[in-house]
Amino acid sequence: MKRRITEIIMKGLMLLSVATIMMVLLYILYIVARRGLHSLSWEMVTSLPTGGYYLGKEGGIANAIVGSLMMIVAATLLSLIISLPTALCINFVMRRNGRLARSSRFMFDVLFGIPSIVYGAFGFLLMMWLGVQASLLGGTIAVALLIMPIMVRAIDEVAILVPSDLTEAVFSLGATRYEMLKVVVRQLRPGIVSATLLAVGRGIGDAATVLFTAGYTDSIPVTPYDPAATLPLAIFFQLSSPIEEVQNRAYAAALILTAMILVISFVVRALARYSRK
Amino acid sequence: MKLSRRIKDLTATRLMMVATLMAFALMIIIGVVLAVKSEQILSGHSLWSLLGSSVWKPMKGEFGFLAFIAGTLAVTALAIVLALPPALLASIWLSEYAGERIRRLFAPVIDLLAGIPPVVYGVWGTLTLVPLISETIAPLFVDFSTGYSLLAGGVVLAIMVIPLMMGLFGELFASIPRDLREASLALGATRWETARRVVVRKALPGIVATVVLAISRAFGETIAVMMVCGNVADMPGSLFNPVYPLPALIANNYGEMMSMPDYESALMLAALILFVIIIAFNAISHAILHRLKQRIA
Amino acid sequence: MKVEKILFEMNTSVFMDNYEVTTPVNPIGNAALSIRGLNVAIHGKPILTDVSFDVPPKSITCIIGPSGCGKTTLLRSLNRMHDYTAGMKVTGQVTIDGNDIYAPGVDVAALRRRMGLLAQRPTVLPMSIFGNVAYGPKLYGVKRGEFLRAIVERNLKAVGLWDEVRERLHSPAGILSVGQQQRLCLARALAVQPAIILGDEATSALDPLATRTIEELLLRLKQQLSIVLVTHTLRQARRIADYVVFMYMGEMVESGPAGQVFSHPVHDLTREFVGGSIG
Repeated sequence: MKRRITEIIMKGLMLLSVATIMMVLLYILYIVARRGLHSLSWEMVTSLPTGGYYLGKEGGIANAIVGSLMMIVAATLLSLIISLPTALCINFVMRRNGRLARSSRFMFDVLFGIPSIVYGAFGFLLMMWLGVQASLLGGTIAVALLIMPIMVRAIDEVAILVPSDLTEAVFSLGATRYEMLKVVVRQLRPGIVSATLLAVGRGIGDAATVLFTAGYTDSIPVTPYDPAATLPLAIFFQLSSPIEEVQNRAYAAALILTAMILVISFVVRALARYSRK
Repeated sequence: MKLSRRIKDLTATRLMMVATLMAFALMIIIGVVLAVKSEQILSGHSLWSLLGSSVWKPMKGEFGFLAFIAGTLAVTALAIVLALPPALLASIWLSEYAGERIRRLFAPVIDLLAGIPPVVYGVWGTLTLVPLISETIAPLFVDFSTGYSLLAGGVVLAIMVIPLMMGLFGELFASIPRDLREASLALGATRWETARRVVVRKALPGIVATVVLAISRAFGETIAVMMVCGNVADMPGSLFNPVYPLPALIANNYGEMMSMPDYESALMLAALILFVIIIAFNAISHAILHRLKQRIA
Repeated sequence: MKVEKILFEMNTSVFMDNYEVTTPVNPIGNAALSIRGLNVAIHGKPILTDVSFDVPPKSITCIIGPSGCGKTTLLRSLNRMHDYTAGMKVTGQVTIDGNDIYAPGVDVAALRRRMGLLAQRPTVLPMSIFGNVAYGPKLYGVKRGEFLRAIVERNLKAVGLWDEVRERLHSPAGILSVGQQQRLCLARALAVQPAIILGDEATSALDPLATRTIEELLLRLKQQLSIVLVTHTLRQARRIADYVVFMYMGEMVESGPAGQVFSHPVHDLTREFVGGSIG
């Protein structure tokens, strides 16, 4: 009898948890969507901020949207160039589950856990040392640092599942390691796509890394050395305004950012599916 | 073998090693750079006086980090305490009780929610949660609260990490073979007993790893917490008092510290403290995980 | 405390010694199963139609038939394992001790306890060897260490595993060989005092030697309980079956004593299958 009662109580608690979590999260989405849609306008997406935008005047945040997109594309490419070889190296060049591979994994766990603000601060020091101002380039480097361990870990998670039968089969055909890796990469493509998506989502939404490294400006950057506005910071600044209308625009900007992440993830997944056929 | 193939192979392998080593070096470089930059403040003050004091008066040359460290830990702990039980229970329900159709309905929703950037939760926290705390919740317990508080920070972080946890828990539970559940059910265990004693137990290393991940995320989150936690450098006393976590300290002051070398160095030390805590935390959790895996096998 | 005592004493009486089995005093051990008009369908598509037969007490009943004929589905409906499969619909009667297991309000957990399950591959739970055997008794409230130890020892002895593992009772069960794991699963099932053992091709993952060990164990256990075994090898059925149920395309074609079904099958299909021309 006691066991039956426990079962019923626990089931109740579980249902309560599901209901609470879903209600809270969907409520947040609803609030953001409702208040955001209210202030959202075509102008906000397409035009640059005018002088008094943050005091409630006309304008938009096209600068931040474009800035964020430029930065995330550059940072993702930069990070992929390092992450992919690294993940492959841990799995297929180093001895599998050897000490070197294990300590590499530990290190990427640590890098993964380092707060984004630390990457921001470190990126800033790096820029001062290189003599670069807060700029698109600076922000790109900091974001690339932030998402590099995310990508390595995500690719590693799928690479670790590649059976050694496969690599041995390729080797037994007389392939070199490089040729074997080409086969493996083809096998891993879906995993690489989702790793990239994960990194893009994290990178585009993070404010702390770009706070000191990218600067902020009302115009769209032309060269890598120009400062660049980013969406998370645009949201943050609008929210800091005492004027309610501007605060509501923060909701609209949050909505834009969320929508962008959704669209990017949808497009990349669709492309990946298309390219596999 | 043709020479060109061999050269290609050698170059590729070497380049990969270099990439891995670069990543290796990155961690060391970050540590060294932060340590070098913190040297100035460490030479003027003893480490003990920096870590053990909660007096933060940069203008008078007093840099006590205790309140910040305590604030960071308090916010993180509150977030995990609030997030873990419901996330775990909800995930168990989804994987052990709910039907395939419901699971398939929930999975993309959870993915979507996990992808929402923290700053969005921060916006909601500032404009909805903070007023709610100051006007409705806090008056039940204390005389006055602005709403910008430890509680607001903990709740925002908890809401942020719940979808992350549920996504990982879901994958984890799905990977546990059905045979194992049936073995337990066949012995007369109820579903909950099976979930608790077999599924959760089998998944324990994964659950620990997920919690470690969530703690890392909550611990290092800057903007969302900074927006709602009040940023006052006091020791965390009540849920309704403001706190000031380390990441927020750095984010708020980094731009203006260039004129004061001591202040700049203190902020670098703050970053170094975060860095060291993360390394220690990872080392401990790795050791725990290693033991768990051996015990459960 | 009371439950502990009962379980403890029941265990003492059933498996006094390693290989010597005393006369059964456990009334539960004599129950038989009877299946009447059992239908199973998934999403409206029938898998089993109108299956009826009896499982005589203290004997081995083998369910044979070509693959895909519904043997496993049949076995799984005997302890309501289909409850959690979406779209599965079971109708008909399965009675144990005269109680219909599909009647509304049945305590499914208590019912399953009466039937031990031996799966195709050994399913060791993620805990120690000791923990595996003690799992069931612990659920039923046995907490005292000495009782648990006694139960674990008796049941491990009953499957001939005691001498092999006594030194490492607290090691993870996963370190055992597949054959040992299957015997551990049997010990675990025995520890909750089942009336029936259900085996789903329980030896298909094992090597011939380990298979023989399990078969010998089952032959000895049938002095105590009823055993229902799905098997895909006719030879195994010939070796150990007392009764045989022949399934074909989701229907029960023939059932009866093994000797009769094998040497004088009534139905043509059975004759062909037993003779090796279908399957």
